[in-house]
Amino acid sequence: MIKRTSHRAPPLLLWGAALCAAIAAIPLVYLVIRIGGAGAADIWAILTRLRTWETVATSVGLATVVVIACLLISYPTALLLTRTKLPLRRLWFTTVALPLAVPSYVAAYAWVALIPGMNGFWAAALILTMVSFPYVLLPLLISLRSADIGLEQVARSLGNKPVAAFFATTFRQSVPAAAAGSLLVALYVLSDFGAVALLRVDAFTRVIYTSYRASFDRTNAAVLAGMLVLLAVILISLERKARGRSLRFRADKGVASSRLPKALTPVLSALSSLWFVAIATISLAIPVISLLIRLGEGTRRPLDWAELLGAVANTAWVSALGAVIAVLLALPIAALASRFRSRSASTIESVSYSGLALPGVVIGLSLVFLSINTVPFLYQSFVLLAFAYAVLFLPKSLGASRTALENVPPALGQVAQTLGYKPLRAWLYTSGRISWPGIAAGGLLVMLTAMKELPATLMLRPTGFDTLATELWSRTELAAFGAAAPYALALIVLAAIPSFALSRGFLTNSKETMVNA
Amino acid sequence: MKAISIQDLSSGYGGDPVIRDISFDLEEKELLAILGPSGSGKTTLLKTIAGFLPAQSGLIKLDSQVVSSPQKIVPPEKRNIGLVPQEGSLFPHLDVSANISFGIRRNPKKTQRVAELLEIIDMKEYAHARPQELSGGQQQRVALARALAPTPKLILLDEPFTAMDTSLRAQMRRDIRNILTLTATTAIMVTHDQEEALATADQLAIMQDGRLIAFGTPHELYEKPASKDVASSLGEVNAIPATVESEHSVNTELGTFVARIMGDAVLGQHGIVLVRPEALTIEETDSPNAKITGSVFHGHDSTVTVSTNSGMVLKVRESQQHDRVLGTLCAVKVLREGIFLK
Amino acid sequence: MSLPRPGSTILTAVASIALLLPVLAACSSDTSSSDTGSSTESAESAELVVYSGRSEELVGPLFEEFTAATGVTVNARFGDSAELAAQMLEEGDRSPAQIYFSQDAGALGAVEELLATLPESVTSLVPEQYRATNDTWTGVTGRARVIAYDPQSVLADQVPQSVFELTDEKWRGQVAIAPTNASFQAFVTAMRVTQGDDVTQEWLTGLVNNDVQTYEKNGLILDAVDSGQVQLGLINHYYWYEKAAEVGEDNMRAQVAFMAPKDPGSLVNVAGVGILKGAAENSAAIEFVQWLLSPGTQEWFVNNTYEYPLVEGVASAEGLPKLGSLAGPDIALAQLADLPGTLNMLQDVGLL
Repeated sequence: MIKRTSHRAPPLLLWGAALCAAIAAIPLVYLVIRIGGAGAADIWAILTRLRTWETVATSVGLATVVVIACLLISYPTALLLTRTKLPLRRLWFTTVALPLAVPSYVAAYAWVALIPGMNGFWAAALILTMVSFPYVLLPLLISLRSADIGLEQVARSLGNKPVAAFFATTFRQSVPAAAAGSLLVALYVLSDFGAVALLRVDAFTRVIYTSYRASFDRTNAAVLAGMLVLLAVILISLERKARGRSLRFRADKGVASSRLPKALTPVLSALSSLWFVAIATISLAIPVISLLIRLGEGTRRPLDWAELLGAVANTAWVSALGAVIAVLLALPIAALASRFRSRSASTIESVSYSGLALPGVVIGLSLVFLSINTVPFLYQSFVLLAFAYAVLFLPKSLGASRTALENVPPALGQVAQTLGYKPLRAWLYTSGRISWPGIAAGGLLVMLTAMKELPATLMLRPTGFDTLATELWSRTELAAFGAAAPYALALIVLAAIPSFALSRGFLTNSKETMVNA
Repeated sequence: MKAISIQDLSSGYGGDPVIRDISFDLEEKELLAILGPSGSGKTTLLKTIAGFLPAQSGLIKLDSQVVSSPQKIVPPEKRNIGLVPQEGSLFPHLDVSANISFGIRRNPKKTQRVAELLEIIDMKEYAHARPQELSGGQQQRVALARALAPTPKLILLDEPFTAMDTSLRAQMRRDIRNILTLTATTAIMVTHDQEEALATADQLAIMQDGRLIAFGTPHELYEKPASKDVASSLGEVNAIPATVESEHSVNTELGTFVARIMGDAVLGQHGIVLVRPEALTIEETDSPNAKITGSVFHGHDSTVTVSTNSGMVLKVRESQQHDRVLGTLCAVKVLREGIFLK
Repeated sequence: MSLPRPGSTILTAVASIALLLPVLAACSSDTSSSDTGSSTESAESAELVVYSGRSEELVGPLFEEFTAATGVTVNARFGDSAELAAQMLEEGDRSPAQIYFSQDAGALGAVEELLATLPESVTSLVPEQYRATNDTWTGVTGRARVIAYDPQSVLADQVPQSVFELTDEKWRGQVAIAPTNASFQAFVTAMRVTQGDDVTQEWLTGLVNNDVQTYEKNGLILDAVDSGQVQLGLINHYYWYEKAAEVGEDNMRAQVAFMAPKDPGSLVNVAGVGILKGAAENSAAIEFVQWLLSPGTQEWFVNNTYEYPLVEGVASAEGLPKLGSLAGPDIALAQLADLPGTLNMLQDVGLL
């Protein structure tokens, strides 16, 4: 059977996915309503202000630099991990996702505490790179791992040197994965506020936050946020072009291609290990040590363990629920996007991504506005907060689920149908079951990010409900940095759990890759 | 009772139909091979039979029940039709036994059935192996067993041997054929390999550009092709311009020889006569009518290409070793009856 | 990773977990306020919903004292004053908030339309210049603008007495401000009111030309001065006292100085409180505000946050100049309403 079922998506799936995308687009609805309230003259004034564009340029520049840096770090790292006999390979494999456990504002704070003069564009670029490169590294690892090595061998037989062969084949195949990861990084940098504020970078988010905090005029701020959405849309379409229109294909049959890892000379071994040690130090060790130092410096009010543990439990539960909702919402969209390439399918997918560019404050306010006017009994409830996380981070689950589902040939589902399974059950038992690790990874990613979320949490949480992020924030407000350190460390430790699980997933996942095609 | 009956079926992916006016019947326990080049619509036909595509016009009946028509479509899960896709597509997360029992999970006798099938496909010791550990041929056998487990009325095989080495293929063909006969299963197999089609099928259907251009037993279609296209689908054939000389003979550049005159041709009618390469022979002679221009060695025989005095290129199959020197002049003779077509 | 079997089992499991979680979370979250959201607007509930822009670390204990004293539970929601204001504006009249306790007057001014007029019993406690003109809100404690300086580079008598000195060449690159901070913005508005827009804009431009260093928060400015990054910084007075209490006064390198009276740089701003319209008749709400203005609580502020009491009869913290002597520029806080104008100006000169 060829790779597509039919060219038209079943209407149920299409509408289901559209519904989920609509839910994810709720903040956009809010923005549109608010922007609609702004006068044309106001909008024009904002758009023609030079300063606005200066900050946009700064943010775009920052995002570009960070993406390039992430790619430069991730490619060699991924190659070393998948193709060579790197010493302590298993150890490095399990730690690749850990930098994701460090929120950008905590990393910035920890660095500034250590090196007081640290600030500016390049400092921000460094710190943001170090906490977000796993977004590129992880998909790259999957891609390189399952790349068809046969193609490289063909290229070499045609006279290409190994490096050229690699670039012509495997590298090309890895572009969609790298593009997907780069998109996440770019959107993350564009919407980040905590780190750039601490490091005193004149980023676009600063303008938006100032607008919200100081002017209380939500219309102007909405116009600015709308600009951010446009930027996101541009980025999303760029990523789509990079991903290309090709479906997955694999030319080899039978057993999963065995890859002989290359042995490294002692010098290269040492250098490679040094590389990994350097990355681990900059992204993890230094922030943690800085926090520990602050912790040691002591604080006026002693640590309330009950409060800390309560915050830990709250953070864990609400982010877990948020992850579950995100995965469920993203699944129909992913199922649609993985099989069908129609215009409606790609529109639905794009709509789901645009929310990722929005700063948390926008998401928070949009849900305040909408929930209090439509479902007031849910306002400031645990469930609504989890739902906010799902809306905020749905794209992360979407990317992971879609990639996992794309790798399952439709023939499997068809066979299941002929064996008597109704379409939905057939899908669940084949595509769903086989992609489960990938889907779960997406869920872990959402959970991890939700743990670190701040602005929307502040606005939507039940009164009296604190997460580690909000506790951390309330202490730094007071410059009580010593008191903040235990919460920052607790947050890193808690977030390290799903990060670790993510990394482990890659180690053990190889057995269930496709048998053929 | 006909296992499957198709009448004037047209189907496609939504716009214009990809396949048109397909009609044929198949008896129970028969194996039908659908032969055609890529793009001929054979996979589309298979999908329509399976129920993944709707019938835009026409009918499909299984056991005299209408399962596809413009008004109605019985979903695949209710048709009890087995499917063996191009590359087996075993479920990678299940072992061999679990794969085989996938369609009969609720059946209380499933363990027995699995054992039975493992026996039939001769893979008892692989009961708990994982698909990744099996070779291509083994995977296909398991896929077949999986499809057979629920005792389907019909099995569809989509180019099942394409992914295999040639040496394996012949063996696999026999094995699969035997399994199907043993289990008395009606089967439709899609292939682009004419040798395969001729060797395995009870009935043969030839498709071209979305239409069925021939339906019959392999012998019939090979011996009495209704057109040059049909003939060439089944193997190399020489089409020589000819004129009807008498009720049973034609006149050609190679001389006059016996031919079956198809259709109602009259004396003197111009047309072509189809002659298979194995029906020609090359002789040394004083009055040559051709020149040797090429030779390909197949091991068991060779194909010699000759160019006649008029420039027509012919293929001759020789079962004996001759050192054919290029450029040698020779005479080409027709050994057997040809088929004359208008 | 061993994974569970697929199908209906998983869906059931996931669904049950998803439904159980909120219940479990409600039990495990803070015991001090176990309610989740929209409280009733009944006039005589034993519960009060407070939106507080002042942090939990700071005023949490205070609220607990209120509960101990009156039996009324305080359901406090902590956040950034301005974000809370924006949130309340979005919530409109469906807001669950009954009291808004803000870090600065600007935020209070922004939500005036949501606030009820305070009763005489409250407004009589606080001098006029520290209340809204229409009495929708009142200040609770005062915060003076000061200049932090690094004694290792700047001697006590060299510290500028007026903000206008800061554009001097000798302070190039050595002055720190926080233009996104509400207190700074209030200070600029005060300058506009007393000195006029032209003078203010000229001064701001002068700062920019003099390579002024911008930070996000006052606390960070203090840190910068304390570590010698910059020599001077404009902050609120209590930050210094907070940090000193945290790390020990002897460990504080940076020192603070008050500017000359009447200079724009010595503005006294207030943290204030208002009652939302829906709770106008709520006796607990009124009691809360009164309690904030009671001598005991005012003293508490003096001792714990080092802010100025606004109620007569309560002495300010030791070592601080008297509130009366500070005076600040001659304006009533209510005049600081034109925040948008200030923001525009700051944006025009490139500080925002």
